[in-house]
Amino acid sequence: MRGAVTRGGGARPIQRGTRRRLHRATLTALVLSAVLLASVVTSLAVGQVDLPLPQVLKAAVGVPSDGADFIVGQLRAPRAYTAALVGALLGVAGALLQSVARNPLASPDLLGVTAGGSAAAVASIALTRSVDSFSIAPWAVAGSLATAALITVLGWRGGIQPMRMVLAGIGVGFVATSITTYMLTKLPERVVGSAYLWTVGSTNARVWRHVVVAAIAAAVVVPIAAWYQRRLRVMEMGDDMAAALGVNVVRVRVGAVAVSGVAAGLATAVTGPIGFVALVAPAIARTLSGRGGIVVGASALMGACVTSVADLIAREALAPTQLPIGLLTAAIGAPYLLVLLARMRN
Amino acid sequence: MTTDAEPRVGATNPAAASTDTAHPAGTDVRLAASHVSLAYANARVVHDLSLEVPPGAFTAIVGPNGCGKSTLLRALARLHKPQVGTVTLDGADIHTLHTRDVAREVGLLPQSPHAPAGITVRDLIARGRTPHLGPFSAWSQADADAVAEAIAATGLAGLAERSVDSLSGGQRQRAWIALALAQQTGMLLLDEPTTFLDIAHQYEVLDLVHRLAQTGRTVVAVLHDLAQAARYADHVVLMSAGLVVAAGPPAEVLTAGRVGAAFGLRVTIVPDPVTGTPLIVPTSAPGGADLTPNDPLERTR
Amino acid sequence: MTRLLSRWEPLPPQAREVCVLALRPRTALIITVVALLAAVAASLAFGAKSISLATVWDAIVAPQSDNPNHAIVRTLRADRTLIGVAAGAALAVAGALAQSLTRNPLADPGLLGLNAGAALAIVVGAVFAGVNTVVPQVALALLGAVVAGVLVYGVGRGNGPEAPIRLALAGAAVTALLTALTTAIVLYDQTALNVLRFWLAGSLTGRAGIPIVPLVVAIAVLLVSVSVVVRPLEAVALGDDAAAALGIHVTRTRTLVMALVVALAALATALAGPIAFVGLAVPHVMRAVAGPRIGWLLALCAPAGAAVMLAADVVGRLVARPGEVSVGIATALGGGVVLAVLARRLRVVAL
Repeated sequence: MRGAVTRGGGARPIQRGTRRRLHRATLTALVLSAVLLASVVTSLAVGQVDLPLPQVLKAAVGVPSDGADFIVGQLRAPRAYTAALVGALLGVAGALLQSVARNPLASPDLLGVTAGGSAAAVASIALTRSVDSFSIAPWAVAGSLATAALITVLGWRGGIQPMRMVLAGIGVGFVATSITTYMLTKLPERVVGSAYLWTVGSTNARVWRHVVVAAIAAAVVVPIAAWYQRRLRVMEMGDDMAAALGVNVVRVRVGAVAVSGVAAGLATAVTGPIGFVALVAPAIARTLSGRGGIVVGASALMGACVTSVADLIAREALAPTQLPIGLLTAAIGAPYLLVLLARMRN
Repeated sequence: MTTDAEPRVGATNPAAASTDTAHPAGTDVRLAASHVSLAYANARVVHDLSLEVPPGAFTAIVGPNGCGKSTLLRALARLHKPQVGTVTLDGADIHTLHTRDVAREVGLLPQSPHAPAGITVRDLIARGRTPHLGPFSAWSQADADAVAEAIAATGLAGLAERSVDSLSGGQRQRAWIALALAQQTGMLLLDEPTTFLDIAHQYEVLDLVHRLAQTGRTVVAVLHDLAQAARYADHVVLMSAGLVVAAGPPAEVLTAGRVGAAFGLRVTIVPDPVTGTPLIVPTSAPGGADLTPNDPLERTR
Repeated sequence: MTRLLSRWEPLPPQAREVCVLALRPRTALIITVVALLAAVAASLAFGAKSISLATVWDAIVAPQSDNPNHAIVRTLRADRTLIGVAAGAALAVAGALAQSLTRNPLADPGLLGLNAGAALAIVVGAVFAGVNTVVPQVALALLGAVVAGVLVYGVGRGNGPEAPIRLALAGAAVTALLTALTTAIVLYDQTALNVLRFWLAGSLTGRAGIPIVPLVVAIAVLLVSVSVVVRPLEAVALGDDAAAALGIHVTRTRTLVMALVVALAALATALAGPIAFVGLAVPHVMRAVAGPRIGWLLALCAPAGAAVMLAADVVGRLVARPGEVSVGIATALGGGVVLAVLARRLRVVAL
């Protein structure tokens, strides 16, 4: 035929690359799981009383063994598990928000969602004068959700516009922190200390109820987020592209932000706002997995690793003084963020 | 569209690393680039390029995407510092001159200008007087006159009090050109002034720019449409892969061989039925096969 | 004649999100100055003890040394009013500059890490150097604010379309880091906690030992100097390339503006403690009048900010007589309402 052009076989190299990427993602997930497991087990074993590993493992799974039961079962396990689960929630919350905002620097802490949660928590302390974490928790969730809704509305222009949302979030976060700061100056002395913990996050004195709440939250949030993952990855190519591929951009964005708000809110409700995890974990997970887009599973695992390790250090580094975990995550996360920003300048 | 220059056209082989300059006789060249290399974040975009901008003429810089034409224009506008070589204005290295002095001589229409929300046409054009106003200088009659002249030259008299946001694309570009005119510079550089404009607005802007060149201003514009460049420019600079392939009057530069080599497309040149300037017509489909006049809709398999 | 563009008048379809109060800037300036004078009068007259305006007038022009009312007006109330005017004007102008700099309509000097830096510096001083007198504290606060501002700007500066977000995020990041450090310290040190609580409660009663007049004069000088950056800022608003083509040093302009923001905000905080929202809400509203004209924006923000600050203070004094609600909460609440109204009605003015 006149003008016929033969096409070469280009299909096979593409398949090979995809397989390699999936391979890498799976490997990352496995490695992170292993690190998490090691960290949790270490948290259970190490402390003021170092316990032998077999006892720890038995206590961890509920097999009665003398001595280890109380320390592991009542003190360390709830704390370690809570830390890991909250980290997972934060990792997922951050991953979702970063994808929606199309900005690796967007995270519930910087966009005011967790600030809204702590403001609500401190407000509840101011109003009810009680520091019982279980009565405060619903307020924290409500506050986070309300803030997520607020930044969605402020960033709305026929759909969420990422840049507007980020700017709105920064402003709203600042507003929430101002209100919180003001309330802290007015609280009576006896509740101020606890109130401050609700602004910085702490894994101290967690009990099994915290674990249960966090576990249910994670069990609900992570699968939903995973469902959103595919659509979000398509949207990362651009709104028009995604719409052409049949993704309802507006609905996905709103849904993802809502899930992110719920995850951040529940995390805040359980431990107070642990900062920077939601920022750092998804970004690292993304780089490690090499899939060039949001990875919910790896973000959750990475978040859990980060908080688990931070919790261990917070507990043991200056024992018997307990450092607030928020300080450690800030000490790692903030410099990382600043370096990232500085590098972005080019 | 004639120039009294006697251009010498250099390298015909784009693969050669040579560059070319054209020297219009009898007039002073003010803006020139001498052996400049330009790079973005360590990726070199322009290599050892020398160019003299013909004074009092409309020069169009054309070339395929990524050939460095916008980068070259920005270098001429003092926005991009050459890694190697110098851009000179009146013989002095442009980067040793004060930005304000350069701003009084060279005006620029940038690629994606951003008008502050709600600004009126008149206010926007007034900002073109910035290089002539110190931080405390008051607005003088000379400034008002410059703005009025710019508005008249661009035909925006009826739109002067409207918000820039409410203008059409062509009108908005005219407003930005008016801003550059209010600067009262002898030279005007335009970076893709016709992008995103429909055909009527494109020609509206080009007519204006051509008229400005005819009043004696030196105009350099990066254009992506070869036929428009051929139609309006006195002098065309064809670039490819960071080098100047040829420079001179449109008819001499835009030959089938050169255009084909630079853009990777087989073309034939036909004279524009209205102006007689070169029109570029592709003769090959992207697959590489020839199109013949008999089957104009034939596409390769 | 002026007319207010009705909120229900449909905006022209091509107009971007701009809602303009069709008030001529000159008229608006007259209105804000009149409002300021009214606020000053109210500030001198109202309080735990109401003093009639006639007495206030007498106290100013023909003071009697043995009249206790005159004494109140000339000392307590005058100081308070002066602080309110200076801090309010400084914060509003700093906010307007910060918003132009970051192209973020929600920017406020506190957003650039200044307050967090000041708080940390004070707390560190209290714990490690036993600083608990006011003058060194204020000096520390200034130092902390400047260091934080430099850090934020150093990391977040840059050109290009992403520049505003980068700066705002740098501010948020630095604020988060410094706040975490501050909180960590106050959780373990009761003195630090008390020092911090006292510092954070912004009020116009002034701090014992702080010389008011020098700070006010410094603010006045800075406010006048702001006029230097007006033209460069207007050029930068056209885009970095266009500004450079107009002969403006973009980086230099941004650095200068940042320096002015830090200086104004730090001085205002030294006078009145950290006050939120004046720097956020006032410029936002004034921009609806001034539009893209930065000169008018700044000229309007100064008296408007002063008026708002005084008004909030007066309301605080009246609402909880004989005690008072500090100006910090009044501005926070008022600003929150303004923000909500703005978001819903007028729409965010694109910068």
